[in-house]
Amino acid sequence: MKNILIVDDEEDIRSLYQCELEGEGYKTHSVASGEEALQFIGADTSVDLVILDIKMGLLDGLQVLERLRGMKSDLPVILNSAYSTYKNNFTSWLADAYLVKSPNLDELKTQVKELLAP
Amino acid sequence: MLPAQTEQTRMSRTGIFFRLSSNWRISNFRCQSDQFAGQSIGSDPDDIRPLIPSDSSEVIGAVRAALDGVPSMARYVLSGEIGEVHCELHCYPCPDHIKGEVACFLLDRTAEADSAAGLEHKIYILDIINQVIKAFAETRNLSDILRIILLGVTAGPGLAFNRGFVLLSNESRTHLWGCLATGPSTPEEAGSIWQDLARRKLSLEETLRLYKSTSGNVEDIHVNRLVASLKIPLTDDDNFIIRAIKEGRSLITTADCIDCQSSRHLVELFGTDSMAVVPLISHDNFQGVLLADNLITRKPISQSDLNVLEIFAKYAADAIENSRLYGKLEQQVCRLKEANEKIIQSRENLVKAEKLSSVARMALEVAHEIRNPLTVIGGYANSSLKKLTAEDKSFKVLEIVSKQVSRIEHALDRFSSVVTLSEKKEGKFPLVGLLKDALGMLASPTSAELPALHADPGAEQLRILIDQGLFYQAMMAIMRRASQIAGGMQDLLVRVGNNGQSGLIYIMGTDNYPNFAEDFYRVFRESRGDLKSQDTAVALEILQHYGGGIGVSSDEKNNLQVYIELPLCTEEK
Repeated sequence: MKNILIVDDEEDIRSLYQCELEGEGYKTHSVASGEEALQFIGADTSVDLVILDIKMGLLDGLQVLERLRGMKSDLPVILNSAYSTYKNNFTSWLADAYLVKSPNLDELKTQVKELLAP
Repeated sequence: MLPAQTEQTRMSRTGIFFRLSSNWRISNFRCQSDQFAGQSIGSDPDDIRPLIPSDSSEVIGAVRAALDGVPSMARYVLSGEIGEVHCELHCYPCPDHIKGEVACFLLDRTAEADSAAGLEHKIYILDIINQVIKAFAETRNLSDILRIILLGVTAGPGLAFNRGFVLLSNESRTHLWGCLATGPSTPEEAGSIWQDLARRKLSLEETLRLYKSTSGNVEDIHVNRLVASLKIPLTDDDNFIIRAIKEGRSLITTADCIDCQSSRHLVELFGTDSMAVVPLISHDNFQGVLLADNLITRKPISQSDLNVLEIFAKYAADAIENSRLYGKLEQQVCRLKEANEKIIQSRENLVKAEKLSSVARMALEVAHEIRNPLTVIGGYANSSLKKLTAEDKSFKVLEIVSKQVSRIEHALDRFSSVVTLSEKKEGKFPLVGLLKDALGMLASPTSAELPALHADPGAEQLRILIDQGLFYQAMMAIMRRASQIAGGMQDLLVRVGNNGQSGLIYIMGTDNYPNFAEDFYRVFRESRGDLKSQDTAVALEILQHYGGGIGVSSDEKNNLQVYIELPLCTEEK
């Protein structure tokens, strides 16, 4: 079973994503900040994919992404933000996908499936 | 017929006293000298008889009046071999004991008449100059001024030369160019023009008014062709015209002047070797030269004619200089006006771009704040719907929630984009021009410090399809970011080129800041969530909306440079 880490400061979003992705057969973990995310990944090497919000407390998603690339360059990361405009930015290119948050989670699920495909 | 007079005798103020009877007999005459009007006066009364024309009605009238007891005077002119003698005959009644005679006093008034005629001529010349000055004052147009000059020189009620030519110096003062001419080229042409003018009996003022606004007479085509062919280098010191200009003095050409090839060529062109040449000099500034001749009448040009022409030329030169200065002033005013309009336009564009930028930032924040709860509400609604069947009580309710959430999400997509928010007025614009405007908006009122802008060959012709306001907004956001990174604009260079399909704006550091592109890229990555980065995010959205983008590439020396790319207009687009 593939492990997915959900990083978002909104608890309801974390719950929704966990519920939906577990329904799809994935094992999920969730954290509320960038710092926690880095700690979790540093400690647990079994994470297969990260869903990363951008606008969070002290360490934002893009900074976390940069550090992750230094730690695990091949770990798939989906940037998931309520801002559509970051899609075109340089740093976003470091991510494997950029998705704008939406009530319709089909696109997220499809992207997860594609990135975790063997 | 009077005998020939000498100048000395003409100046004589001699008077003759005599008595004249009703039957025209002269007696008791006395002369203050032995000469009168150049004629020797002896003791014989017959000597003075030719001086009193018995067939002159004026003389007869004066004598009769005196015979009737009324003092009277008659003026008449006698023709002499070298000119006219102006006589004044005063007739007085004689005392009662001398019946049938009058006492006469004959005076030679020739000198006074000459003096009056001279004065009259001077007044006439002053009047001409006055009228021409008035005409000059009414216009600043150089063509009109040249026409007034030539009319003043050639019109019958003007200085009455046969032909006039104006040659002016070019801007760089290297050549004299033939500008305008007037006057006939053949006696037949002259006859036709002068008869017409004589018939109309126009004053100079009327002539000026009539001809000022016309483009010249058809009869003047020949002289104008002639003058248009003249281009004399100001270095041709042997040429009599250039010599006159450099020496700053007028001259009447004689055979002695025609001592070089170019002068001989001019004489051949003009068809005469007698010509008045008057430099047009105003406040020590040489403007050109005025030429006048009497090709048709062959009337010799006197020193007096030249003097009058000099006075005339002084005012003409002032008028030409004023016109040229006025023209330059007008051009400068026009340039300033354009610059001012551009500044106003720039400021308006800047305000618009700033407003748009504020709206965009606000829209992004609002969208972010709404999108998170929307995702949760809609997400759970959708998730629950999948677990229910249509028969479930809550299915319908959740379906409505999902539908409305979807509706809000679409609205949010629309309102969270500055591109969709703005009222676009798209058009084809020159890329370099737009960029200059955008950079101009970044210049502060106190400092015009801007990056050096270089356009590759042909770049001025590159055109893009875009909304001007959005372009300004995007460029200003990127350039402000670049300026923050570089610590000012002074160490930045902007170059415009193209790759065939797209126009490319390269932003790079000067030799003082070769690592600009690396820093730009790093800062771009490190400063995500703040408001400043939202401006650049919006800039990128705008560029992408128009099929462009931003990137980093290396130049031929492997130095990194930031580039902005925008598709070029094709013929079809």
